[in-house]
Order: sequence, then structure tokens, then C-alpha cells
Amino acid sequence: MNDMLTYTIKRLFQGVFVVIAVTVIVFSIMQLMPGDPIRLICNPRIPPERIEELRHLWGLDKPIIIQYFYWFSNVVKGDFGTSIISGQKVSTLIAQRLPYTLMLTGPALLLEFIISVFLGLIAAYKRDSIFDKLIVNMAIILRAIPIFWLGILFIMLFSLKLRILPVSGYSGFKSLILPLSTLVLPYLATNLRLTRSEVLEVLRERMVLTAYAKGLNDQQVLFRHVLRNALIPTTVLFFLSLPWIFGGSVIIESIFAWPGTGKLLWKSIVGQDFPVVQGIIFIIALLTVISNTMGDIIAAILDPRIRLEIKGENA
Amino acid sequence: MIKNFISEGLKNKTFCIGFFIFISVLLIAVFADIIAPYTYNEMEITNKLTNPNQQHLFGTDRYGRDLFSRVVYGSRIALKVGLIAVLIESFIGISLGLLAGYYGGINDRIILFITDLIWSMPPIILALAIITMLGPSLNNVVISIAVVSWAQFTKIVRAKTQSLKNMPFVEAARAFGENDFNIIFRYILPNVMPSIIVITTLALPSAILLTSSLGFLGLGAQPPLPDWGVILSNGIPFIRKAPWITIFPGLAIAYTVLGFNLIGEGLRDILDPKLKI
Amino acid sequence: MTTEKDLLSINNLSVSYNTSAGIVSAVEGINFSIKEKEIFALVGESGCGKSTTAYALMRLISEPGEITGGNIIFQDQDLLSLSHKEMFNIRGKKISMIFQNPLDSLNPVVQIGSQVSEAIVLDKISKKAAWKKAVEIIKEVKIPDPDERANSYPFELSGGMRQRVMIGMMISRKPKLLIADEPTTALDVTVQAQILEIIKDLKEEIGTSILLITHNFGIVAEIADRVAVMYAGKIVEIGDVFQIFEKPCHPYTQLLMGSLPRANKKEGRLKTIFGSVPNLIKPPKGCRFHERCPYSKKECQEIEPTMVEIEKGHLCACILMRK
Repeated sequence: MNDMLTYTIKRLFQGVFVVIAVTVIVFSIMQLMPGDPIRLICNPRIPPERIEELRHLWGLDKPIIIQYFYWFSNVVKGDFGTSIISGQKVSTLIAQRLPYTLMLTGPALLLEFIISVFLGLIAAYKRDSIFDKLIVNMAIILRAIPIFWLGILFIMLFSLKLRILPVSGYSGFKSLILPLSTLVLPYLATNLRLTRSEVLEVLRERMVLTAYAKGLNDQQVLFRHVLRNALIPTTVLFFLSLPWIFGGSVIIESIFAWPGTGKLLWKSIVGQDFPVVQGIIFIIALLTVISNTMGDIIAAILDPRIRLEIKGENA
Repeated sequence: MIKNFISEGLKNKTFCIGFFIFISVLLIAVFADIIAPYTYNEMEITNKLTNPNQQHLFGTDRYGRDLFSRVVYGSRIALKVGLIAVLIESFIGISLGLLAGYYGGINDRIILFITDLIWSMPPIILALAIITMLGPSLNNVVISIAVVSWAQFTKIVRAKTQSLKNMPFVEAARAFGENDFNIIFRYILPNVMPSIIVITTLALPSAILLTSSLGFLGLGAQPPLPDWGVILSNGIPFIRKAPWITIFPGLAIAYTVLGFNLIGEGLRDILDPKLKI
Repeated sequence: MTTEKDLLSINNLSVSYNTSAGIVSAVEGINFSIKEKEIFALVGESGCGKSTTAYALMRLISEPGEITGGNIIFQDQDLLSLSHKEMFNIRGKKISMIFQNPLDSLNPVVQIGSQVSEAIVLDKISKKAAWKKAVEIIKEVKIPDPDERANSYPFELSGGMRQRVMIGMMISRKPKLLIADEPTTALDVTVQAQILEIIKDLKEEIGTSILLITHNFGIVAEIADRVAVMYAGKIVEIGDVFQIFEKPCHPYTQLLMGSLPRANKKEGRLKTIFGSVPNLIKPPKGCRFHERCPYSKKECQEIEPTMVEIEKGHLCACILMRK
């Protein structure tokens, strides 16, 4: 248990280091953005002295390293600067939108994980049956459909033709259904194939025969041994791919006019509102590092063989 | 060996269907000038938003442009971008994977760190960041895709190289004095090739999807280029009046991506069934 | 003289595999029986069908394999006629099996205490009591620190210890028959002896019969009571261990005996058996061994030999060796 604690702390420290590295990268990237931020927002008729005043006011005339530390200390306080377009604080903007995005991505992640594990397990267990072939083929086709097209098709069918669901925007539970379904399906297809192949691999192992030889019945073998083992890589992969769903949410939110951070990101890129872009990307990068770290720790919790490796490393 | 591969390929249904789809798209792209009745930018404002009819197989868009021609020319964009991006990313990814896997040590740790970091970020987000930096254009789309995707090559190539470098035949090669460069290229790389081929065929559809996604968001190919994603997004205001503007390009994307996915699946069965993609 | 009742009687069992290259006849029409408290060895080279026979006994043959004929009478029941569900009551409880490589055969991410008690619980024993019993069993198979060991994982144990845990786990419910499929092949020679000791003791202490599957005649000599020799899916000779070793009848058995390294004989080079196992998709007509047999005559290619009792308890399937 001591080893696990040491490992967790080590990983957390590594995570912090990575986050700092990410801030440096993000900041540097932002410096490379085209255009002079001041001229972008200011009326071109403003006299140059006034522009210099603004530049000084916003600290844009100081050396880059100082700008970085200034920026970093703000970020730590949760201050990402001010939106060029709207004038609001970036953190306020993000805080307003984040709940809507989480409303979509949270349930989406849960749903796709549970459904993909369940279907993947059955498909692998009934390998080559009609059910299996159906599931696999559906997954293959689903992976080929672009997520934005899927969303539009759903809107065409359910909102326009059948008129049972709203077209866009947030208006309570019903408006959640279409964007949620569109978000879930492509990731579901991918994870389903992965779970299925993990389960197939475990089924090939000798220890499954041992379980039967002991006298366990099908359900017991399937759940206590096959699923338990197959879930280890599946769960770790799930954590590692957690941030990916934010990518999908950008597109979904733009199609369904969903008031979340994804749509904000898109609008900000199009409008060259760099502070907002910077803030959102930083948060996603942060999330990525967190889920990676969590993935590693969970892998160690679930798989004793990894704990053995850790012991060896600590020794 | 090639004969063997061809006969194996023909037996595999998935591969055959995928290959057929791929060839059909390729032919359409190559012979676009002959197949498309109009150029992709011919506007006939008086004829805008017409339903599919004899003169315009897929109908027309808001500027009266023939949708069929635009979709046909769109195949060129999809294939070109896909191909170039994958070429770049595979070159980078394979080189780094070989280096990391063969030499190990600090090089490996650095490469692994960067690879894991890039691969765990959502590709679209990262691509959007790069586009923000460089500005929206088709060339920058290629660059973004390459940067976002090389990691998939590195991971697999690195893993395979690590297991291959300790195999007896490599040790034998070292024993009779082969230098590192030779070992990597003449002994290790050929054995990693099957996996590389599978990944390449699966990297192409990802590239095409990313291209059209960026085009859809208006941050990729710029008008009047007939990128499928662009055509689709242009059709959104007209979903009710002219749904075909959003249906056909989407169909084109799905068809093309499906073809590559099937080829990849089929190749994986033939060349490297254990690959977990 | 009273004949002891057979514990297990295999009659005319056939198993085949539907491969893309054709139907492989892995086991064809074999017959043998095992008595109570007996160690019965099934020997033969790799691929002769002995493991397939074992899996068929446990009804663990899966696609593309198929049991195509015969019956397996165990305690007055034909195992092949039992339903899928009914077999769950047989496995582990009445007939059990240990496998060749204990590292692969145990679940690497579950503690061995849990794996052992998992079997015990099936007999409606509470989890707590089952765990206690599991620790006892780990002690019985002579593993030190059984309390601590019960919490370890398979990879933390040595190969010999793992196999002992396997054995303990599989006899925890006191089955009447234990199948041991190459139990010592993956272990060091020094550890082999320990495992064989344990297996021998099972016969005495619990009254379990053992079906020992192996290609190693040395082990057979050490612990087996009766032996059946298999070749290319068919049984060619059955006898008690003395009959087989001292008066081998079938040419294949004789050759196997001749190629045993004997420390005390002044033999020259080790005799090898030339040729290789026949193609089981199109087995040769007549005797399956005739292509490699030094005595084969024309009749051997046409007539399929049947098992004939040449002396009490000793059967041989060779038309030339009828004495």
C-alpha cells in the first residue's frame, strides 16, 4: 500500500510538472498568433499615442518572460484575461458555459462506456453469431459517418420531419436528447470494438478453462474472470480518452446552437478572440493531464502486475 | 509473397469491398474533369436551390452552383489532403518510433512523453489551436492533421521495435557487426511494415474526417473550394428547403471513409490480426 | 474373482475438428476405462489426441471441435448425454482438471485465496468458511505461510507452488477423478518430483483416481498403475505399468520403450523413431502406424487392427503381434 501511495504522489508531481510545461507551450503559442491584438480591437482611427497607452496598460510592452509570469500568476488565480470581443472576463465566460458542456459530455461519457462494455461483452461472447456480426458492422458504419452529418440527419428526421424534438438551443431535457445521442454514437462505436477485442483475447486464455474446470457456470466465468480482466485495459483507455469527447462537443454545440464552451471556442477562433481561445485550450490541456494521471493510477489499482512493476521501479 | 498477399486479399470480403470503394473514389477524383458536367464554381444565380433534376443531378446550392460537380471535385481535396498529411505524419511518426524503440534511454522517454501528451489531447482541439496560430487555409489543415496524428505511428512502431530488437535474428546481426542504421532499416523496419500499412490505411480516413470537420467549422478549406465539409455547412441554412445540399456531401464523406476503414480492417486481418485499433 | 466397478468407461469416443483445410479426425473410436483409486496414464507424442480426450471428458471441447460419437460412462451416467447445465455439477465436483502451465492457467489479477475459495463456495459454504478452508488447502499442499500466501497473486509464486495451488484448488471439493494434463512439463525436474508426490498421495488420502496425460514415460514409470498408449488419435495398447514396460506388445510402444534413455544399459546411440505423425485429415487406410512401423506388411495397409486381449488386462491393437 505504501508503494501505491508513493507512486500516486510521484505521478501527481509529474502531472503538475506537465501542466506547467503545458502553460509554457500554450503561452508561447499565443505569442505566435498573427496580428497585433491591440489593432484588432481598436478602431483604426485611434491615434497611435493612445494605442501605446493601451499597450502599456495591458502590459504588452514588457519582455516576454515577464508577460509569461504575469499571465501565469493570473491563471493560477483563475484569471484568463478579458475577451476581446465581449469585454467580459474569460473566466466568467467559461464559467457560464461550462455547465452546459458538462451536461452533454458527462452523461455522454457514462452512457457510451456502459453501453459499449455491455454490447462488446455480448458480441465477443457470442462471437460470429448474427448479433455479433450486426453489432460489428453497425460499429464500422458508424465510425465512417462524420459527427456533424449525423447531427444534421438527426435534426432532419426528429426535429423537422417528425417534429418530436427541438431543433437547437437549450430548452430543458428534450433539447438534450439529440445532441447527446449524436455525441455518444461515434465514441460508442470505437469503444465497442475495443471492448470486444479485449474480451475475445481474454476468452482465448487458458485460465478461462480453469474457471470452467472448477465448476463455475457461464455467468460466473464471464463476470468474475473474463469481464473483470477485460475491463482493466478498457477502463484505463476510457480515462485516457476522456478529453476526446470535448473535441466532439465543439462540433455538436455548433450544430445544435448549444450554449457551451465548445461553441464558445469555435466562435472565439473565428473572431480571433485569443484570450478566450487560450483559456479554453488551457483548461482542456489541464483536463488531459488530469485524466492521464488518473488513468495511470487506476491502472495500478486494478492490475496487480503493474503494482509489481512499480515496486521494482521504487526499489 | 506478393502473389500470396493478393490471393489472401481477394479472399477477404472486407478488403474487397473497401478496395472497390476506394478505387471508385479514386477514379472519380482523377477523372473529375470528365465526370463533372460543370466546374465547381460556376454560378447561375437564377437557378439557385433547385431540386435534383436532369441538368443538376444533385441540385444546386444558394449560388446556383451544380452540387454534383462540387461534390465530385471535393473528392480531389479529400484525397489530396489525406494523402499528403498521412505521408508527412507517417514519416515523422515512424522515424520517432524507430528511434525511441531502438535506442531507448532518455531519447525514448522524451519522445514517449511528447507522443503521449499530443495523442491524449483531443485531435480537433489541437488542430483548432494550430489553425488559430497559422490561420485557416487548406495547407494549414494539412499541417494540423500531420501534427495531431503522427503519434499513432510512433506508439505502435516504438512498441514493435522494442520487442523486435531483442529477437535472436537481430542479435545475430549485431554479432556479425552490422551497424545500427542497417539493423533498423534492413532487419527491424521490414518486420514492422505490416503494422505500418494497417495504421496508414486507418490514418487516411481520420485525416479526411478531420479535414471535413475543419471545413465544416469554416476553419479549413476556404470558399470557393468545394471541400465536403464546407459544402455541408453552407447547406445548413437551407435544411428545410434544400436538404440535399447537406445530404450528398455527407454521404460522400461517409462512403469514402467507409472504404478506407474496410481496407484497413481487411488488411489488419491479413497482416497483423493482433493490432488493437 | 470380483471385478471392481469401473469409475469411468470411455466407449468408442470420436472427436473431430472442422478446419478450413478439412475435417481433422483427432480422436477415433477409443476405448478405455479407469477404476477407482487408480492412476491411469494416457501417453503418446504431441498431437496424438490425448489432451483432446481429456477436454472431451470435461465437455470443454469448443468450436471448431466436435464430439462426433461414442459415450463416456461415469458413475452410471453418460456424460455426453448431459445438458450444458448439468455438466456444471460434474466439473470440479466429480471430475476435475489441472493444466500444463500454471501461470497461464490461473487468473493473474485475482488473489490465489479467492481463486481457491471460489471453488469451495460452490458447495454452499459461506464465503468466510470457504476462505478458511482455502488457507487450509494451501497449507496442505505444503506452501509456507498459507495465511499470507492466500493474499498473493499467481506471479508472486514459483512455478511449483502455483501447480500445487492448482492441485489444491481442483481437489478441494474432493472429486472422484482428477485429470492431470502434462502437470509437470513446464516445471523444473526437481520440482517435478514434489508434484508427483502430491499426486500419488491424492490416490491414497482422498481416494481420487487420476487420469495422467503425458508424453514422459519416466513419470509414468514412477506413479502410474495402468497405461494406455495413443497414436494418431487411436489407442494402440493398454496394460498395467509392468506389462507395458516389460512386455510391450505394439511396435509403437516397443519403439517408445527403446528410445528411453536408460542410465544402466550400455546401449549405443539413442534409437529414434523415423517419420512423423500421419495427416489426420486423410488418415492412412488400415493401421495408422503402418508408415512408420518397422514390421509393417501388406495387410497392415488394408486391415484396421482392433484391440485384442493378449493376456489378462493387457490389450494390443496390432494384427501382427497376436501372440
